[in-house]
Amino acid sequence: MQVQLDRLREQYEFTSWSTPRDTSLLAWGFRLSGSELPGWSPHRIQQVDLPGEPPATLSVWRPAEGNGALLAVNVYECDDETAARRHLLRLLGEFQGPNLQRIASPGEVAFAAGSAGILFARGNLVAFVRSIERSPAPVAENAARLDRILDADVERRGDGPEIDTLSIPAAEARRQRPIPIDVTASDRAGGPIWFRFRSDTGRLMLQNRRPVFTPTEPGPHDIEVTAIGATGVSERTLRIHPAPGE
Amino acid sequence: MGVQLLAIKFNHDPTGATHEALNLRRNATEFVNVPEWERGVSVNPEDSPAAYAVRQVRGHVVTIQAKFRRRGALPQPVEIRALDATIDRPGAGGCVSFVRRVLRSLFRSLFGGVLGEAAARTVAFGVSGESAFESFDLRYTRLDWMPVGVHTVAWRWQYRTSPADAWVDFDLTRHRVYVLVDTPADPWQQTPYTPTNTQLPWTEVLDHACDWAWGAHDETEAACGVTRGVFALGPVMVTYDCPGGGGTHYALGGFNCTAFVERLRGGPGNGYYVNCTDCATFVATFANALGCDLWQSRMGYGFGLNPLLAIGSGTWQPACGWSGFSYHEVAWTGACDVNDRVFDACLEVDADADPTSVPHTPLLPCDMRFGNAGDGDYRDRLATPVGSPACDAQPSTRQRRIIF
Repeated sequence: MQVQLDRLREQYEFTSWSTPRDTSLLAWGFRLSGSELPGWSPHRIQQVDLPGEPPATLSVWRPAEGNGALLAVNVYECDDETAARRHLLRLLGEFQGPNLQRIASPGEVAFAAGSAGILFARGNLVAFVRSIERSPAPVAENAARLDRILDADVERRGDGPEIDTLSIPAAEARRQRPIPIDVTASDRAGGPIWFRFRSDTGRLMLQNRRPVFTPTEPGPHDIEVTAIGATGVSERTLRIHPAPGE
Repeated sequence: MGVQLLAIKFNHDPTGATHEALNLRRNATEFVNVPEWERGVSVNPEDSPAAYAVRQVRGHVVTIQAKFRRRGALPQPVEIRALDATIDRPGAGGCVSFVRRVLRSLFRSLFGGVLGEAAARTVAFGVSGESAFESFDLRYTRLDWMPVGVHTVAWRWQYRTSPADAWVDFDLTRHRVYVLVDTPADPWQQTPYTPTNTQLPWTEVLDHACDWAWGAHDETEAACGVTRGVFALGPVMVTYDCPGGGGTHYALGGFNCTAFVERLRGGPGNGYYVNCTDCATFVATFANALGCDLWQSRMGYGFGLNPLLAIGSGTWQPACGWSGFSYHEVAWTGACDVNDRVFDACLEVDADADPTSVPHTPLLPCDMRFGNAGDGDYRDRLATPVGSPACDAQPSTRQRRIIF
């Protein structure tokens, strides 16, 4: 597999897209509720957690007005942005045909398999949206919609889950020292909840499947935390002060 | 007054496979509970499934365990047996003449149920009126030489209170029995035998695998049957993923067998399109459920293709008209190297002396040596003479994807 990965790195100029951006974005416990894609309803949503693979949400969607089209939406939750890009590269190695085409959006790095599929990385997530039946499904439109949900989801702000706890075990932060973030939320509407974290002054990642923040700037550090539920999203900011002398 | 059958265990010892059935589940979410047959629960044959590995049971007496209830003031103990209802139909007399016995023996050898019949034994009942689970030897089974298949076994349960009495029918049960070449191989497991172990063989997989490999007596025949069965899914159920660049749909990371089985049943599954990784995974996983020992492994990278017939396609051309494959993956034996055998359900190659041009003679690669460039084996039939050297076996990619 390493031989193939080396070849893919070269073919897809991996070094040109493997550097994460300045703002760190992390999704944790990603779930699809079934309401994400207007005009489409989920036929099947599977949460899959296999050894050696990032946890994945695999889904197949049918159009509300059935024309035989089917849309597959797979989302992989990697430990951080770098791992997401590596996983994206691995997925590019699952195509037997000619190289996929690099496209500007959605996500931070994206590739298209003709008009039938789009793969992209956004933060620590990799999404793969594709048309999987003979009747074509609108892939670009739904991939863009999914990306908006992964990135900001401003359209659904309010009426979301309530963030019950948001804290760190240490009162102060030191640069390059990872700090676990404790967060819980509840949703009166029921249904799955997942979280998104964003920071401009440090790196966010998952360690042992838990969110941690590692300051890279002096601070203070504001981490924007969003709880995403089926009916909406809610936000809070976690402020972390630098340790004396930082 | 009489006897009532309460339950039957086929897999009465989950640690063994020589005298009993294998550990099974139905699919990713449903476990096959033991006893497999329960009064009031099991109605159709598929409600009480059992699978036997011929190589394991050959030469051994297969047994089942059954539990009964005494109804009314029946003297005890009683003798109980189960006749093969395909040979001894309900209503047929128990006392047969010599000629009828000979005919019956002949009939049994030709048409008898795969599990034969449960030999008579004495059963005693406790104060509750129920017996313990009593072990019955199966006789006249055909498991020693039976090829791969799925069968319905029907048993006519009878009791008598003394050897002088006539046998009395009290129940008729029907069961689905899978006959496998050997114990399912990885990714399928027999342990741990727990409801959470999703890698226990699925009956929903065996339904199709036994159908495709029907009549196979060994691993090679079974693997070829599965290869043919998967390839024959095109173009009605699946086709090669030309629109999506030859992407993997069912076997990204693990094998989404749930989706594939759904597709086989006429549902959406993961859609219409497949690639070589999907087909290699289908073949290896379904064949291994029958006791084969195949892997999924790649070759490559980046090689030109001879004209071929991709799954679901009726046009001889390099797949989708592309110049070549970035990689290819097949079901493969042993170390997945040059001298090992490949089973490729994704495409048919040209079997004639010149695979680079017309005329084309379709050949589904089944038990073909992979070969070195220039040997004229699978590799040279798939890849162009120029591309064949780049179509190296990549044994480090050998794997058996986890099922979910």
